[in-house]
Amino acid sequence: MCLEEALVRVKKYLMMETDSSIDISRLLRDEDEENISDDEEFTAPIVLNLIENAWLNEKLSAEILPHKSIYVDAMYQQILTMEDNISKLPSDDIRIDIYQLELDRIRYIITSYLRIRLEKIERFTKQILQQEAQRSVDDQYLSFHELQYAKSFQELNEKHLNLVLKKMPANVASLSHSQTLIRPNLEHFVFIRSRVSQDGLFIPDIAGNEEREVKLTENSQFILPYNSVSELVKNNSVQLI
Amino acid sequence: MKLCRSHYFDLEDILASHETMPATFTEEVKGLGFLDPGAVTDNITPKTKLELPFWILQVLLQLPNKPVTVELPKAFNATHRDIFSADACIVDFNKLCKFFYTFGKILARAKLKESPEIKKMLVETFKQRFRYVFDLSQNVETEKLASDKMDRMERELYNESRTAQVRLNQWMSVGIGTIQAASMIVNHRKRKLTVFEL
Amino acid sequence: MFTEKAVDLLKELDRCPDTLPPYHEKMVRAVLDEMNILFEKNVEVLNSSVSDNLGEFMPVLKFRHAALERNKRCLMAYFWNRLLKIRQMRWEFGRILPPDVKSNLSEAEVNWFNNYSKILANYMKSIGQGCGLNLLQNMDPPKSLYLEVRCLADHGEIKMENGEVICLQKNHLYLLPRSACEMLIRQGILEQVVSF
Repeated sequence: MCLEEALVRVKKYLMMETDSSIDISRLLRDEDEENISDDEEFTAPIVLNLIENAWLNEKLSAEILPHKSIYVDAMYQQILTMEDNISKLPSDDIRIDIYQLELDRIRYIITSYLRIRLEKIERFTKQILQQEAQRSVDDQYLSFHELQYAKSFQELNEKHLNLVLKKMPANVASLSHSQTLIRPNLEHFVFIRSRVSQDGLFIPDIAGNEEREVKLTENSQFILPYNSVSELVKNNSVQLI
Repeated sequence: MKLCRSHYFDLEDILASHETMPATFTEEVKGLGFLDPGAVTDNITPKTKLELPFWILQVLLQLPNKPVTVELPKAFNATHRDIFSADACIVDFNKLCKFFYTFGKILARAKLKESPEIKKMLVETFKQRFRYVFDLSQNVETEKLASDKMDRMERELYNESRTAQVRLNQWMSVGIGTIQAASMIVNHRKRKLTVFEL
Repeated sequence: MFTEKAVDLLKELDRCPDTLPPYHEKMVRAVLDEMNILFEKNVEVLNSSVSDNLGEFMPVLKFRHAALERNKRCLMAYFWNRLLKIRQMRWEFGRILPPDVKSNLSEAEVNWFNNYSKILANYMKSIGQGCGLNLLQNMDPPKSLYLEVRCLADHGEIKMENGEVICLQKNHLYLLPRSACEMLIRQGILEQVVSF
């Protein structure tokens, strides 16, 4: 590839820098690379967008949301493949740095997403395990490995607390279920942008007891208590911003 | 922002429920003489007035014969409620009641006679002081002494707000590209230096 | 007065929001002793009293039981909140704690730390269908690939991804890829130089 072509590509990239749905696979496509098929050209940016939205939702809500491990795993595999491709380019190729930065940015989103989820699992272990047990197999909020982690973490903590509990008089030497239950504060306020039009959203008034009705229209933005919109967040009707 | 509801292990909840209230014993109570530093016997005599932690009073109030009557703590009595409604910003909560809002919530939930009034008073006081806390936190140039008069909850709010303002300023001027050393490590190093200097 | 020691433990924790004070074994044992005394006193009363008199002793029985529960709650909160800080240590100091920090932990807490590291490592290994992902990296959004850093303490040699070996000496400036130095900056060995 000659210098002019390279400069054109760099310019295109720089202009698209703020566009998060950058088409990574198109950027990487070159005569040398036959790994990327036409199908993936459309799914990579879409999956990235989904992950970004999931990341924002997870960051801004107090409770844990349904997992998106299918997308995360797919995206992560994609990153690893691309990093492998980059390593095969000649080391003085100016594209390497640019691609690497973009891949680092995606890596950041994925690690941040998983970290936030882990923090919530550690904070609300008992309640999460309890609620997860009541959900059907298709409706699980935790991925398989997150569930294993939650169980191990719970066991670890119980063992530690038992070390001192067993030294106490017999009638108080255990912790009841309600004592170890830590619940998220679902009444915190969130900024939302609605993806759909929806009537009949009832918001309880903080001071009094009357409820107010809020009508959501597509792309409208509101500040609302999280618990009124939690279901809408989980089914993707609204986005936390 | 409080991410969890108050729970069994919650430090703030425990310390707040340790705040004291004035109580008067209406009957003799056998065996609790140790609560009264001036008691001669093992028992508490009627008409004894003591300042006791809330959690103890909760237990005594749940007894069938209710051997005590309680008054609201100093920070929540009628005099102070009037002060708050006049101008809440001048009050030094650090001296008056460190856990003002948390303890206030506990009292409001305790189904006392004055609970509804306390609820209203908490909201109004917070509204008045919020502006003051918010203004102070925006001024990131000065030292962090401004939080001297605040209670625990306001102080947390103030600190979080300050951090957010600093980050915003950084982003607007240079862009947040700097990675910081972890806070525990910075503190660890500061303590090591202090020890070395001593 | 009963439960004062337990509350003192919590106040000790509360006074140091940024660090972990040493594990106060003496105080914990004192609280446990107090709990046993309270329990035994109650048992004594229950065993000796005739059912008629029990009504008189109800307040003190209830009080002692409440004090017992209160002590338990304080102890549990003490242990729990210490675990929260120790968890934070794993994420900020890394897998190996500096000796003076480690000396503030009880033996049981050190065990907890090690086991926590283990389950965390297992989870991280399993991410991406077994590919593994280090969640302790990439803590901040990347702005550039290379960072100008100043070394704060002699650290010896580090090997980079491209095979190059660099010797980190105190007060020297380096231009390094972010992936190589992020961890070292967070650990306080390097400092990012902010240029305007």
